[in-house]
Amino acid sequence: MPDEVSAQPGMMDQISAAGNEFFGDALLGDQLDQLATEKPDLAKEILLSMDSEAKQLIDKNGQINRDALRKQLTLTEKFSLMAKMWIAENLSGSIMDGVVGEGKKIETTSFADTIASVKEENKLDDHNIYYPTAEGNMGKATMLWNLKGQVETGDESTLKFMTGSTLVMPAEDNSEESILGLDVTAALQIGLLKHGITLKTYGVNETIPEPGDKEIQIVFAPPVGFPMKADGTLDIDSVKKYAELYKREKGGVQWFTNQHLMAAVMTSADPTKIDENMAKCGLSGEEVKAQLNSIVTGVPVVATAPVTGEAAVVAAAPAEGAETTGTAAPTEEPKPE
Amino acid sequence: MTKEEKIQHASALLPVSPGFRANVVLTANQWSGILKSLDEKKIDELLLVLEEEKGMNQDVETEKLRKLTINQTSYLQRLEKLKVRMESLTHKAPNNA
Repeated sequence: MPDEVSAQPGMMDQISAAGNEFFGDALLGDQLDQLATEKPDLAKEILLSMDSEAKQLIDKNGQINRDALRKQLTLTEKFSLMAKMWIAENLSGSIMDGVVGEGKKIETTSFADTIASVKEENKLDDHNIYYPTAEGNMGKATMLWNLKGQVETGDESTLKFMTGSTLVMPAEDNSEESILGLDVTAALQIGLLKHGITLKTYGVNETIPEPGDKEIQIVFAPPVGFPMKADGTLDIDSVKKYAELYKREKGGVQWFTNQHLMAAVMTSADPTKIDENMAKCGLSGEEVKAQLNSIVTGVPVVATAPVTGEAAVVAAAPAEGAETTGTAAPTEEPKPE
Repeated sequence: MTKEEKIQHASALLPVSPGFRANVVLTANQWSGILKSLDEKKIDELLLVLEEEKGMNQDVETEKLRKLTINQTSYLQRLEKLKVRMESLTHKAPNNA
């Protein structure tokens, strides 16, 4: 065997594999073997040419795909504008009137402005939506979503929509509502377009990006506060999704039910403040601690009754020998405020 | 095509229209409910937009496939040349005559 070949260990296998791969023909692979043995320089040149051709094919295909994608994106932009105009011209007015009442004034506000206003004016009432703060405390935002109540009570006040925000609400509430043969969310998606607001909906287990400045997100969560699996155990993955939303840097997350928020707070808030926070959810400190302990130790939690604002979820005692996961429950006492 | 058929057709196109989906994401049934309240002229107008969008996207896709096919064919032709060259070299190699 010539020295050039023996000086390049593995070359034969490489050539054979390349021959089979590119030519799909074992005989040609054998010919390459032969060439490598007899004229290694030429064999190497053939190999390099094969690589070059393959690279050209991949590069060109990539370029073609990118060009097509760019054209499709341009088309989508163009037709998105046309769609927006068509909807605003033909649907938004009547549908919005059907949802919020004819002639209602629509205003938009940002999440940050709304929270500042609520804090300043101390506006708290039963129809408010709970929202978390960066410190792990809860407050209440002016109810921006109680459309059913506003329509039924004939509330004449201006309807404000909080943009740059995310609303976590039970999926059931969406399907129960029906105006103009549509559910409220669908109607609002159309109706709000005229006001420059995009409303997007997500399931709690989907990837949920930060909302845009002129965007409202709705995250549909399970109807009962704590997400449960079919076997009656707590769906820890969904709770973690709540926690991800809760921990968003920009905030802007509203929680339709205190139970949804509690599930999030439990996995992310300062445990020393849990007592105070959860008391605002209508739960006693002992009940809260039972919940927290259950979640952080991975012990199944069982819903015993529909959540009504009172503690309706109790921690099941761990089965003997049950495997536990997660971090140990905090043992320190809450710090006095 | 009757108005009902037009509504069904538009309702099927709307949920897959990239332009409309960029604004609102509704199901075919939801769209169908909405479109019922419109007069036929408006639905014709909507169908025109939807068909145009679909057609233009299809054109882009067809053009993409055509170019990919040409590229693939060209690649195979160049490989074929390499193959011929290699066969020629192998036949000319010493001890192979």
